[in-house]
This record gives sequence, structure tokens and C-alpha cells, in this order.
Amino acid sequence: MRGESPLRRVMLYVAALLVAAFWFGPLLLVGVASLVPDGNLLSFPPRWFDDGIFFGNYEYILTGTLPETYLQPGALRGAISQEVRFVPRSMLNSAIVATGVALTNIVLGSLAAYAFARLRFPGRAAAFNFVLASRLLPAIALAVPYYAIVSRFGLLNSRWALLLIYSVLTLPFTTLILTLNFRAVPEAIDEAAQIEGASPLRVLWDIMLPLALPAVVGVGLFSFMLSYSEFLFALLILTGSETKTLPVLFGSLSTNRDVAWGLLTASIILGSLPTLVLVAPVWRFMVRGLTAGAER
Amino acid sequence: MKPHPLRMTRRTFAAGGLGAMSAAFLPRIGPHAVSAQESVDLNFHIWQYGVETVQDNIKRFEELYPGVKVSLSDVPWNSYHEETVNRLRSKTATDVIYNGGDWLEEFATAGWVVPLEDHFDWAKGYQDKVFAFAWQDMTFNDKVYGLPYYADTITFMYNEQLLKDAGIAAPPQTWEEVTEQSLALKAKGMEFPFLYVLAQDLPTVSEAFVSTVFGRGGELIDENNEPLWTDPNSPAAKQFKWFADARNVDKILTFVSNETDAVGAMSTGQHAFVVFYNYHLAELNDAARSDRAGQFKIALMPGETHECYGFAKFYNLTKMAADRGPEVVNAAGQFIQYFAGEIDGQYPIAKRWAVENGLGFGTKALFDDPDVRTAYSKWIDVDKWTEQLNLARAQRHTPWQGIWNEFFRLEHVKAVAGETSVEDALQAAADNWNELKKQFGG
Amino acid sequence: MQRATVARDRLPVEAGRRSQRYRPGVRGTGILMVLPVVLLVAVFTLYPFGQALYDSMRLTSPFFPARFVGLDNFRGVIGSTYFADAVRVTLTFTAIAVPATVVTSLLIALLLNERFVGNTALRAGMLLPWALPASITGIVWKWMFLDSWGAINVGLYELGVIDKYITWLTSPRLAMMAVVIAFVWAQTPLATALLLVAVQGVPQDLYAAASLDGAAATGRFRDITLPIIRPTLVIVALYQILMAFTTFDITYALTHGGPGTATTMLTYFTWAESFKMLDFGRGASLAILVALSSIVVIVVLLRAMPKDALLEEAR
Repeated sequence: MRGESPLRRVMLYVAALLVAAFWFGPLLLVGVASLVPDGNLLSFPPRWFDDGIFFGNYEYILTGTLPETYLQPGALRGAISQEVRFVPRSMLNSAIVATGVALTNIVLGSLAAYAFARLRFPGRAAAFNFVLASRLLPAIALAVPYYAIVSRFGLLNSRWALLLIYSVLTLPFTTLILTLNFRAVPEAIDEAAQIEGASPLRVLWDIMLPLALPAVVGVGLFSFMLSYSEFLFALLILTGSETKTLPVLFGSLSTNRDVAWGLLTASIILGSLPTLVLVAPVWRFMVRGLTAGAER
Repeated sequence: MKPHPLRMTRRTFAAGGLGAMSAAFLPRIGPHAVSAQESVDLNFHIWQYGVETVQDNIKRFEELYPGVKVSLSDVPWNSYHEETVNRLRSKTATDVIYNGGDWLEEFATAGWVVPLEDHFDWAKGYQDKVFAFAWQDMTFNDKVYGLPYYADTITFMYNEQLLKDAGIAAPPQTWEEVTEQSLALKAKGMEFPFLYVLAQDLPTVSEAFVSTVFGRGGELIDENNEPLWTDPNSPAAKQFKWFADARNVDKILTFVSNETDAVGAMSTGQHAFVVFYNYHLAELNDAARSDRAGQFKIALMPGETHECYGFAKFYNLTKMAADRGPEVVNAAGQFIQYFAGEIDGQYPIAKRWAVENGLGFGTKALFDDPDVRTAYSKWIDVDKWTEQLNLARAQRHTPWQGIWNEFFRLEHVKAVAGETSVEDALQAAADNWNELKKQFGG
Repeated sequence: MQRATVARDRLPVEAGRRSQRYRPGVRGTGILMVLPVVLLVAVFTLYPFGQALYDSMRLTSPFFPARFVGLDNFRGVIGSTYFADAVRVTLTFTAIAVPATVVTSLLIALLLNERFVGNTALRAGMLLPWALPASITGIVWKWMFLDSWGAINVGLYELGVIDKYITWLTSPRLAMMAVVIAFVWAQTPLATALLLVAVQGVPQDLYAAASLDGAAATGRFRDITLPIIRPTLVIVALYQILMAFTTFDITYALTHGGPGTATTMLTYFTWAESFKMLDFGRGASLAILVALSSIVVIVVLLRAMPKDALLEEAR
């Protein structure tokens, strides 16, 4: 573009390489570690690549077949924990809760957002502000009382408790975004429908939702991702290995002395896959939504 | 407790030998008259160690008692205290748990666990068959709450070869000598001769510290549950200071945050001394795992009396199980007896842990068991170990100890990491103790 | 009835349009439609907050009958050295991590605003750190920093930079640094994306004019870019302050607050007080202190923010 000096180009590429190393390096190394037998991983002086690539960690997590290296003499560590075998199940647990939260967000959020955007009723502004302001309370402040309440109602270790809590945490944002989006729909359109005699619900279903579809899908995915990754509340509320969500399982794996690093790193790669598939659409939505807000 | 099981490597290593042996340990005794009624579900809650062995043991138990189904819940060792409290508090189905002396009084005071002897006639009968320190660890208010999963000591270990190379003929007898020898090793190029396992969330740390205090003939508290470390000349205070000085003054100590890392670090030959669970010596001397196998030896705990901490980890019946009725209690009794009791003159599961993993045992009978002796002699000087075992004693426990340990470890790490002074740390630990003591009305 | 309202709505006047939203039927519908959300949020914020207030003034422990203790819990918490430690660590962490994140993100945003091969790949790839659950991020970085066989030690050793492994996670300062780096790693993508959009919003003709004037790059940045992206910068900084102030997952997985209390922040401390020390009353009083202080932080920041930053944003 504007006549650039070669030096500037070089610096540009060096900087880009540094950024790439910072962002991708750690995950790359996790991936590498998952393919190295543990004995090599823990050697000193290090000899990571002496024995070639090794898929046994993945095999164990997915099938329960013990990798041979853990049986070989010379492996520095015989540790192997069954806990990593819960990785697939914990992904499912996370996905179940997150899907429930996403649906709750879309249904309840769009109902409320439509009312906030188009209908007049007493207390509208107050209710709107209250919902938004609720997020000013930091999660940790709610964690201890949530635990008390959940255990009082016998909902400890229950997905329902998580579903409710995550919905409360995500609905304010969902409501805000959908309200803004519904407001952006020209009033003439739904007015015309009302003139035809359509009820607010019908207008919402037939007109608003289709018109604001990208935002609706966006908030759904956003609340899905948030719930999929949430750690603090899940840590408090889930007590059984059958119900643990992915982040809780990893919190536990991070302190489990029986987990070989090869297994841990392979678990990270497997556990991250679904998030990585979903992330692109959520990301677009987040950045567009947030920057649109900032520009408005 | 939670070390890494070398069982995997071992098993293949001696695939024919040990494997077949352990199968032989588990005699197929005829099913006790279990009527074909609907089965009883038992939840067994443990910290993660050798989970596959536990599951295998459960499988054998279920084959023997088809009327009982056992579900296992396992949590990490270093969050076992809070996770178990949460479980019991929230009445999440839990029937039999691993427990230890440091938590027994707390759980019993809260009414979560019940004495074994209140429900089973056979419980008291084990008193003479179990080591005194182990029995004491399982006893609260004169009632016994469990049978040992394993019982062990926290011992002092050194690398004989490295000492020899540095011209040191015998292992240290006192903590002053540990410092001297370490400085000598350091002068010869060893950066940190003493390796300590230290992390604020690791229960082991409290026990290891107590064991070193016992070496000096000390105690943490007196018979009125008053803290003794407030006196700077007490063994506890001296030992606390020793660790901080070793790191910050003499710079002979480094620490790792768990036993697994410690075994790895010792195996690299960069350290000469370590204090941890006795069974780690089996891992250090396992030729399958370490190039330096055979170099590691047990020494009597340094100090004036060479005493050490002996403890039991045991199977404990919960109040929840007791409340579920006689069928459940009966099944839990069968379970505990199978896992820890005497079956046809044998202690099959305890023996399996001892032979395969090197875990200590609470039952005197295993001490003379030829299979155990053979297995032990491969990694430990049995005479020296016997000498140390005879000097092992249990710790005084209080109901608030489990909670206090969480504070104490924090202060211990802070002092060793140089973030606070020894005096402030000891004072904080005492303040906290007194506050808890007052709360608990102790 | 419906018919009647519709008829009234036909009036092609402004007043008619307004009155449409006041129709009695719709008015009830409006309340019904927001009710689930409002109720849910109310039940799960007011009730817990009330519960926390209540618990904070009582002895709440699994071991004793609960009783009223007034402000003892607050006194106990504030008086304890752990609280002082946690406050100090939280402030230190925030003071280091937030500028580090904002500056790094801004630099990367400026970089991504340039043309170079691989730009698109970087932009697409930055999703990775952002998408990972934070507890996994903690483990990823634990693997990097691990004292005995972490990737950084192995890498430095292989490169011949060090001949002894560095004790990253057992030295207080280095452990704090490790947490900061993990935080920056997880937070830069979103911040970068927002700042990139702002930087792209700078009209090119302003730069062209500046080039004619012979302005240096730094001058161009200060005089043209900075004023325009300032609102976004302020928002990003605010957001990061809140994130740093309430960091929990990363420390939980990476350091467990250690060594000692070197990386124990208020959130971790609140959790530990309740669930490790099992003093739920104190935990609740801490939770209230954290809530109040973060609200204070928000208000103070909003006030301290230059008035025109918000106005510009509104443009």
C-alpha cells in the first residue's frame, strides 16, 4: 500500500509469528504431548520423540484399552486413571445442560424481549433495568447462597439446578440483545400484522423471530457456549462422576495424581473438539453484536 | 492413599508371578447364605488410588455376594475432605467411605459416620490383631469406627549411592545432621539435596510434618488439646523452623506439589533426602520405573527419639447406611469384612495392596506373611523398617483437625516459600487453632 | 373485543399508534411475557442475596447448630491475614493482568489491521484460546509451566537456555506470572477482536492527510487512532478489570491459589473459606464483601471515565 520499507515488512512478520506462537503454541504442545508416551514425556534429560507417535492415550479414553506403554517396564510412571474415561460422558452432560439452557434462553428470552421492545405495560422500564442490573452481582457472591438453596431443595448433583442457574446467568444478555434486535425491525411490519388481527405471540412467531433469526440463533449459541464452559457453579453442585460436566471433570483431573499427562493432554484435545466446531458462528455473532453496540 | 499405582508396570512385569499369586490370595469361599431376594445397592466412596484394583476387588466381592451391587465413587485425594463433607452433608447416597484419623472425629462429631462396633459383633474382635497405632487411629470416644484399608508410616528416605559418592558414610541421625550433610552435598554441586512434598491443598503435608515432629519426640498438642508449637523450643516449632530455614537460609530444600512428582524428581538423582509415605520407597526402588532403583534406603526418622507417625486409613460405615436398615447394614458389614477382615485366616485384599503396591498394613498377621516379606524385601531393608515400625505412634486427633489442617498447610507453605516469618506463621496457626477449639467447645 | 381494538388502531393518527400498545389485552400479555424472565432472575438474585445476608450474620457450619452472631463473621474475615493477602493478590493481579491484556490486544489489533500473508489465519485461529473452557486453559498452562517436565522447561533446556529446570509454579512470583500469562492468553482474542473493529473504523483519509503532513507512525497513532478507538478501549479495559477481579477457574486448575497464598484471589478465597474451611457464614460474608466491592469498582470506574468517552460512544 503506502510504500513500505523492507524492514517494516520483516518486523510485521516477526510480530505475526510471535502472536501465532503465543496463541497456538500451548495447544500445539498439548497436542504433541498427547501423542508421546508418558515415559518419554517425563524423562530428564528430555527425549520426547525417541519412540515415534503414539495413539494409545486416545484409544484408552475412547475404548478403555490400556496403552502398552503403561505396561512396559521403563515407563517412569504407571499411573493411569479411570477418570479420563469419563471425558466423553462429561461432554454429553455438558451438552445436555447447555442445550437446555440455549432453548430456555430462546423461548423465554424472545418472549420477554418482544414485550420489552413492542408492548407497553406498567413497570416495563423497571423490569428491564432490573434484569440487566442483576448481572452486576459477581458469580462468587451468588455461589455460596446458591449452594445453600440448591442443597435445601435436594437438587445437589442435579442437572435441573444447573439449568436454572445458567439460564439466570445468560437471560439478561439474551434479553438485551433480542430487545435491541426486535426494536430494529420496522414497526410498520408488525403493525400491519396486528391490523390483520394477529396476537402478540403470533406476531412474535411469524414475523419477529424469522426477521431476527441470526440474533436468535446467536444468543442460543452464546448461552450454549457459556453453559458448556461454566465451572464454578458446576463444581459446587455436581458431586457424582456420572453427572460431572466437562469443566468440572477437568478441574478434578487437574488435581488427580493418578492421571498420566499423556492421558490428560489427550483428554484436553478430545474435550475441546465440540467447542471448536461451535465456536465460529458464536464468535461472529459476539463480535458483531458487541461492536455494533459500541458503535451505536 | 493416593500415590500413583505402580501396579500397572508391576503386573506385567511379573505377569505370571504376582498376578497368579494375588489370584491365589483371594480364596473362593462359598457364598454366605444370601437369599435370592432383590439386591442391595451399596455406594462406596473413595479417594483415587489404584482405582482399577479397587474395581477388580469389587468384582470379586460381587461374585461372592450376588445379592449386593457396589457402585464406586472416586474423587481426587487432595479434594477428598471437602468433597466428602459435601456428599455427607447433602445426603448424597454414600454407604461405606475411606476415612482417616485426621477426619474421623470431625465426621463422627457431625454425625455422618457410625462406630463399627455398634453394628457388628466382630468389630471389637480385631483389636488384638491390629497394630496399636492403627487401632488408635480408627478409634474415637473409645469406639472403633473401622477396619484398615491400609496402615503405614511416614518415613525418612535417602539415596545411599549419592551419599556414598559424597563421602558420607551413614544417613543423618538428627535434623542438624540433615542440614550438615545437605550442605556438604550442596558444596559438591547438588542444588537441593532435600526434597519436600508441599502444597496447601495436599492432606499428606500435614501428616508428613507430624512425622518429622515425632522424630524429635514431639507432639503438636497436649492432652488438653492445647497447641504446643507456641513455645519456640518445642519440637514442633523447631521442626517448622527447620523447613523454613532449609529453604530460605541454607537453601538446601526445594519442594514439589505432589508425591508423583516427588518420586519422579528423586529418580532423576537430583535430590538425596525425602520424607513421605513408606510405600513410595517401593516405587523408588522399582527397576521398571527408575534407573536408580536399589539406591534408595529407609533411615530412622531423624531426631532425638526417631519416632514416626503411624496411621491407618480405613473403611467406615456412614450414618446414612445405618439408617437404611438392617439389610443394608448387613451388606455393608459383609463388604467391610471382605475388604479388610480375616477370611479363612487370610487378609486377601490388604495382602494384595501390600504385595502389589507396597502399601503398609494394619494387621499384625501380615507382618509374618512370607509372601509379604518376599515382596517387601525387594524394596526395603525389612529389619530397619521393623525398627521404625516399632517406633511408630498415632497422633492425637481433635474434631477440628481436618479444618485446621487446611489453615496450617497454608501457613506451612507460606513460611517455606518465604512469604511470611516462622513466628508469624506459627502464631497464625495457633490463633486459628484456638478459635476452632473455642467453636468446637474443645 | 379484539375486533374493537383493531378498529381503533385503524385510525391513521399518531395517537392511535401509541394507544395500540396500551390495549388492555396486550398490556396483560406484556406482563405475562416478561414474567418468566423477571421471576427467574428475581428468585435467583434477590433470594440468594438475601440468603447470603442472612447467612453472613450467622454461624453456618456443618458441625454446630446455626446461631446469630451479628457482624462477627465480617469482623473475622476482615481481620484475618488471609483476607489481606487475598485483597493484595487480587489488586496486584488486576493491576498487572489488565494493562498486559489491553496493551497486548491493542498491539495485536494494530498488527491485524496491516496486510500480510497469514492475517486471515491469525484472525480465524484466535477463536481457539477464547473458546476453551477456562478450567482447561488452566491445565493447558499447567502443562506449559510444570516445574519438573513442563513444556517451557523442556523447550528452554533443549535450546540450551537453561541447564536446570525453573521452578515456575512453586515460586510465588513466578506462579503469579504464570496465572497472568494464562489470563492474558484467554482474554486477548475477544479484546483484540473488539479493538480491531475500532481500529478499522478509523477513516483512511485521515491517515492519508497525516502522511502528507509527514507525521510519524507514533504520532499518527496518538493523534488519529487513539482518540477514535478510545471508547472501545475504555470498554475493553472495564470488561477486563471485571474479569480479572473475579478470576477463579484458571487459578483453580493452574495453582490452586498457591504456593501458599501467592495466587489466592478474593474469589478463590471465598470458595475456600466456604468449601475447604467449611465456614459457610464467613463464606457468605466474604461473598457480600466481594459483591459490594465489585459494584463499587464498577461505579468508580464509570465515574472516573472521561465523560466524553461515553458521549462519543453514543455517537
